[in-house]
Amino acid sequence: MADKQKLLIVDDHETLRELLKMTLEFSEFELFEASDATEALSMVTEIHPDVIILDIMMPGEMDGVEVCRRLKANPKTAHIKIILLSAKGQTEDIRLGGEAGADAYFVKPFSPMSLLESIKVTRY
Amino acid sequence: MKQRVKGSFRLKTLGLTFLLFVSFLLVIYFASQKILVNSLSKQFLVQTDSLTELITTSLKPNVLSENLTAVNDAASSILAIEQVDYVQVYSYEDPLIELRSADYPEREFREDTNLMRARDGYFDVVYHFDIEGTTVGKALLSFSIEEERALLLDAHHKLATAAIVMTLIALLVTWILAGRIAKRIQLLEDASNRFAAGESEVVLPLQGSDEIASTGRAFEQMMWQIREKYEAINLSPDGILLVSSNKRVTYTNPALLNILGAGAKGLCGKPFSVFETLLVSILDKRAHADIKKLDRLIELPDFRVHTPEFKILRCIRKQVDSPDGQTFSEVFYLRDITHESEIDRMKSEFLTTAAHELRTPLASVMGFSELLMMNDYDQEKTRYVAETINRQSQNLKRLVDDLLDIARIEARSDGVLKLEKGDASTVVSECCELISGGDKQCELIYQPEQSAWCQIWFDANKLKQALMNILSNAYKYSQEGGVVIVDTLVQQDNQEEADWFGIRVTDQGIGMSEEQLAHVGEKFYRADDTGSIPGTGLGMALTSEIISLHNGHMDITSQLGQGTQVTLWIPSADSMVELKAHG
Repeated sequence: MADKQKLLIVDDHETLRELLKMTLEFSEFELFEASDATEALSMVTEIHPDVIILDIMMPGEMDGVEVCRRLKANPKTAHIKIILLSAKGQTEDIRLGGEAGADAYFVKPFSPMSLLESIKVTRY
Repeated sequence: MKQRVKGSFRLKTLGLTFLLFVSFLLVIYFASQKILVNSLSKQFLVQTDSLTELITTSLKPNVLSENLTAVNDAASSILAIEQVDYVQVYSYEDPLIELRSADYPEREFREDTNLMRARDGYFDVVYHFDIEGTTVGKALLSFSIEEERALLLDAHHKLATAAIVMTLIALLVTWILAGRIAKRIQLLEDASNRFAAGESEVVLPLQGSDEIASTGRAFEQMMWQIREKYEAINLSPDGILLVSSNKRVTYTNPALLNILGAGAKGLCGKPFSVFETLLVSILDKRAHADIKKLDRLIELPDFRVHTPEFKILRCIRKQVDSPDGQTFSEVFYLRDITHESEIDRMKSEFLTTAAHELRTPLASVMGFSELLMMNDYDQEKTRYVAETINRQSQNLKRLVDDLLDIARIEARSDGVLKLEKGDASTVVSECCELISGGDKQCELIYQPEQSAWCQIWFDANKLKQALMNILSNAYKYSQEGGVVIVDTLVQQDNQEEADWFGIRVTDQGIGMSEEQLAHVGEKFYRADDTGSIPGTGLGMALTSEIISLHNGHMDITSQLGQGTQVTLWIPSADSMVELKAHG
């Protein structure tokens, strides 16, 4: 299974990470997790994920939008599908996510099945 | 500013009185003079008439017959008549005889018609002897009228003196009366000038029942009304500044000085440009870099300043036209809307944050329940998911409860504390029992007999809620085997002469950094935001509100990795001034 796609879950809430893991448990992804932006960035260089589910509000100086912007600005990581997942559901927040280059934006609370569908669709 | 006007009321009245009196006296003087002269003349002429008879009967025939002896006798008898001092008889143009009394002086004879004209004291009369239209002789007679003249002169003097004295008296009376009126009018003028200059105690002409007194009373009434409005302006929380038509600041109310800070001291009396410069100088340079003139500032709905305290102000200008419409004064109204804006901002921020915070546990509830519906998990996994859903629902419930509590306390809708007086030892004991009854691996040390107590006013339920928040924080952030110490103390505050009762909770938990410490009490702030420690982030905010309702305050000291100490201070019952909730 060398070609199994890798998915990185980035969220500071353990329960949320657990939820995402269980949602994706029967999908064909190899799952990885990180709990803040710094950890996420170092994991990206380490495991080269294909998809990232990225929370926006996280402790630390960097938030999810910033992580997304950096990854999309770097040609080496620009191909990674990024799904932003946030409690911030206002139009302005979604616009900022789009500007940062996110491929999808999910507002908490979300339906795990729709998220799964979305990942399947955006998958290459 | 006192200046005597040229056309003053007093001088005008005086001048008018003088003119009236002088003309009146002149009329009286001349009229009486004339009456006197006329009556004297009449009397004199009657006398002269009797003489005429004597002349025509005894002198005239003798002159015609040229009987000199008889003429002489007749002349002598005429001279003997009282007042007649000189007799000269002519036949045609030739003098026949000339007789004079001993004291008759050498003088020129000049026929007189008016008694007053005879200034030398002699009245000269000529009698002509006519026959059929031809003058055949004449007699010249001089009467001594010293007595009549003396009488006339005396009357003349008396009249003149009376006139002058009366004029003087009239002028004096007018001067005094007009002076008194003018003085009272002056009093009114001074009062209005002083009042306008800001003096509150002024003297008014209120005695009596005349027009000036009633004007004075009306003025007093007006002053009272102005003072009422003045007090209202003084009490106003909004700043008010008046600028006169010559562009000087004439008034600033206390609120204006409060709003504009120390720089506004002594603004009153300064040119308007000083105010303009001050306002422009304290403007937030970043927000209003392009504004150099007050006119531009007025156009803004609000503007930001640093006094140095940051404030958001609103300024309104109103122009007041002068009575002649040529000039105008200005009223500036300055309102500090920092608080409103801040509260607005905080409210919307709170709502946004609250909504966000509700979304996270909701995401778990919604997500996990959907997983349960869509998948056939085995019993163990199903149980795990159900437990997670339940835990997250409880989190949600806590959050909603805390939000409601905060909303209630902030709105003071149940702000009336159910106060009781006591030493609150039951509350502390109950909380300690409650918290140590849990399954946490912490040890709680509480020795009531070694703690200090004093009487306080408190609401048992609210205080319990506050203390439970502190205790559960201490437990939550403590590692296994940690120790939480609870004790109470009484401290004297010399400055406020008040005793303070403190409940102190000390833990050896993870502690907080200075930066974290600064955020304590902020809603939704959590020292640990990973979600591994349950909590809503509202506990400390709630506790802080409850303690401030008790007129108390909260002390927190903490060191990262060393632990945290929280003390809830409540004023003792004796030193306690009125609790807010009492009012």
